[in-house]
Amino acid sequence: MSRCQDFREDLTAWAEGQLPARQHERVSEHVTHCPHCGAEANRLRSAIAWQQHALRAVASLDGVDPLALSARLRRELTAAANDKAPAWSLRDVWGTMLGRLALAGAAVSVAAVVLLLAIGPGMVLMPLGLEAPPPAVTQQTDFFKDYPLIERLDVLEHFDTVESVPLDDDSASQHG
Amino acid sequence: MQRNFGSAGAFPEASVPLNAEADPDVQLMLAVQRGDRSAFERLFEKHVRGVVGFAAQFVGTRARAEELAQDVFLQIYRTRARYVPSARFTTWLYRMVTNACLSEVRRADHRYHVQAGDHLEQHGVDDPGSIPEVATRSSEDALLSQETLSRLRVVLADLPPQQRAALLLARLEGLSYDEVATALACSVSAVKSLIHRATVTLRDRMQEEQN
Repeated sequence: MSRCQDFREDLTAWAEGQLPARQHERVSEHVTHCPHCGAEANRLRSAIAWQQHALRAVASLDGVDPLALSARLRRELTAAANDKAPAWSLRDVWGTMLGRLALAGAAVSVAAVVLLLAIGPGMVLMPLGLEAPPPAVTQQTDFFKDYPLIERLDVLEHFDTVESVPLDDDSASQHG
Repeated sequence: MQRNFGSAGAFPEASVPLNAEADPDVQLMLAVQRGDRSAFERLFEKHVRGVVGFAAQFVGTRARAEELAQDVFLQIYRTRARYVPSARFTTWLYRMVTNACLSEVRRADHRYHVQAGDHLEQHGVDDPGSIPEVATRSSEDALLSQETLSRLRVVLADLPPQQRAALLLARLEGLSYDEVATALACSVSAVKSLIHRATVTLRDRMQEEQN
């Protein structure tokens, strides 16, 4: 019986010739030797034939007029074409080399603006001479005029540390 | 209302190993892609009846099914630039249609509940765009009584949407299980199970109704 269960769901596909060749052979062999499945296969064959015919009858709608529907579709297509569709789309622009360059340029510009807003415009504009430095800088020209001095700031930061370095033994004995 | 019916480009899973370019409808769709609007109209006129018939099994009324078909074809036209012929046109089309139908079913305001007893009264008389009113009339279909077809609609509407979609794609549109899997974005093994359960439920329920 369990063997019959294995084949039961295949019977319709088998009766319609929709199984792969090897599977079809296996089911054929079983149906030939099993009277129960053989009878069920016959019933399914009849059901399939009747359903094919009856379902066509159910779905055949004599009232459908393809020409009238076609005319309606034509009107809808015309109306759709007249709709305010954009004259261009990103897909169209991307389709040309010039369009790709333009889109890439636009993307870079957007990224630059975002960066500018993120880090503050002064950081970009000041080195280019497009923006005046803050008053604190302009008022201390002596301090900022010499760039190497700024480089020494790191050393100056450790000035206290340098001062606090203990004197070596010779110096200590001289003082002593 | 603008809706998204899923990808209009290639299918994410290439599970349909066939030469899609050989499909004349794919050629038409490629012409649409090149700007040939008459090719689009030919595709529309060829497939719209099938799409409306399929959609009607989910949305309940023919009028709504026509709207849905219209929306799907508009979506196809608008996204034609992204079309990649990786499957038969029908498979690709019904993937979008199925997505639209299943979305519609999920929307509470468009749930299609059909009551067995009042189906004809509810839809056949009051709603001029209803399905029963435009039921089948070919000589072959005459063998199926209106009563049987009404019962079948009720049973079909009671199937879970995924089962219903799989069954209709296979039986109605003639899609292979591989193609149904592509249309439903699921595995072939899942499709096998969905179709089997739908087939058995439909058969047993119809027998119960007859008895």
